[in-house]
Amino acid sequence: MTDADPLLAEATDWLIRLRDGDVADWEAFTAWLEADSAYAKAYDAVALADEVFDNTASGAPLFEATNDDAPPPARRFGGRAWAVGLGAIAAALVAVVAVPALIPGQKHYEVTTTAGEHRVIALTDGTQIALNGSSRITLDHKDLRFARLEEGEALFSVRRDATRPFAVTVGDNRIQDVGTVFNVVHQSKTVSVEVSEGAVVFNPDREAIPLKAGQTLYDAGMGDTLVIGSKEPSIIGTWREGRLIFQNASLSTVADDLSRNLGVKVLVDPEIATRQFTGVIQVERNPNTLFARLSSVLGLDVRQTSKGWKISLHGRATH
Amino acid sequence: MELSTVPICPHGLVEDRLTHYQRGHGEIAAASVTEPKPIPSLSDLRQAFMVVRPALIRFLVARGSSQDDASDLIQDLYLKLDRVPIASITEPRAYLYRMAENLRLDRVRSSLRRSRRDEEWTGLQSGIELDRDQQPLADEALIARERLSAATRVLDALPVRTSEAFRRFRIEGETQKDIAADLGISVSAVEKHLQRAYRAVLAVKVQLDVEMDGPCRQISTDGNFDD
Repeated sequence: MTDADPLLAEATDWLIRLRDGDVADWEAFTAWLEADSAYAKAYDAVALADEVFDNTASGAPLFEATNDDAPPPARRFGGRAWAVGLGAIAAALVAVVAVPALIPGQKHYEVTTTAGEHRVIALTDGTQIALNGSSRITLDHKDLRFARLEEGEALFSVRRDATRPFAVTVGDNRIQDVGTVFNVVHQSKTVSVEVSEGAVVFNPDREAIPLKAGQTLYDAGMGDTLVIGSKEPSIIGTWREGRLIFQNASLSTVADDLSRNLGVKVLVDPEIATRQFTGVIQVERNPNTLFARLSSVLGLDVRQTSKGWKISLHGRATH
Repeated sequence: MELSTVPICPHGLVEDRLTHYQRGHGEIAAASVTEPKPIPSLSDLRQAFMVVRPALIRFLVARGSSQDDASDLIQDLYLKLDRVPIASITEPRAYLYRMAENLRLDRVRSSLRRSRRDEEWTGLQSGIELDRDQQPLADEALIARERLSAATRVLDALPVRTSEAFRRFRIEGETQKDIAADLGISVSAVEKHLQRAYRAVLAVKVQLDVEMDGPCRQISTDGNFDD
């Protein structure tokens, strides 16, 4: 037998996986398709070849398919079968920088984004990682349940598999999860975790703090105190849709978030860096419009300097 | 709560509901994660539809539909919701995706059929307005049956485990997990068998398509083309 066309093989993987797929699988499939229009054609080819077996069990005439918008029989949806090792085809949708494997059995690679860039990484097991701008994450080709957020922000939508928890390493912390959606920010030494669906365990080997949907954890990275708070789950990870929602966030956090999402450097005068802000910022591609609006909302001066956009008190701006 | 001692919390921690956790103290049971699976009602399905609608449109566009076609298909899908076997649905949102995919495949199939029919018409009676009837060609059931037997022959020629895994997955509708347990192999081994079987099925399809679209194809005129 001749070797398979890799694209068709990948499309076949999806066909197999989607038969018993859940919503995370379909979302991951969408992300895969969006990477290249050739993928949809490959999938068409496989799906049209596959339908030769439609209705064979019932003996109904083939190709009289005008009513087959109804999904296949219930048993297809009954099992939660899940192919853990869905082939070695990494459906990473992004250009990746391969980092040589340092430890046997590991195959680490790094995905980075520049400021203002959003990327979605679809792992073949259905887990999706949305990476915000100015972020860096290490993943493992061999271990789909491994991720290390080196810096920046990522929203994890983890494929449920109770037997193999997904673990995100952030600094010297570990967030362990069995199937959920959660957002992680790693900025300098600080770590912030926000759980939107399901539950995670923060540092299962140490404090083992369970965080449920709607709970947040903040580790300032200095000292012993971890702060657990709450946040409306529906507003977690909204940066993906270009909405930055802040509740009592410091202006330095607002500036960091804007930098990541806009692709321009945003600074705050140290004098007002700890001031708090509550509100929604709709990310605009045109920084001039956005900062003009922000300036009037904050009642502060926001202007372009040689180092980037700077937020300061009126009359204090330096050029 | 002493708010003054609370560090500045980024990312929207609501301060009045903060609790502090001292590292290395206290024991908190591991989080339990439950996933309730109630049987959905029609209104659940409609609600799921509302939630997932933008994602479905995005999916259809990624799948190759134009924005307009995607909206059309979604409209169709919505109208069909009250005719689906609700009791059998375990995951409403995944089910809606499946419906969208099937509707889209239907379109692909009928446009293929139409272009094939158009070719035949052009071949037979050029200049006459083309028949846009959605009915399958009379010989289509025959073709399908031929294809099925060709595919079955190819499967039969594969190693026994491969054809068995495929038959149970694709014809009997068993899950990979069940097949793996039954055959005493891993799920990823089942996956490899399925991948191999599909490769053979694809190869035979490509071959049949070439034969069918070739210049020597017999054209059926047995009453399906009313003037």
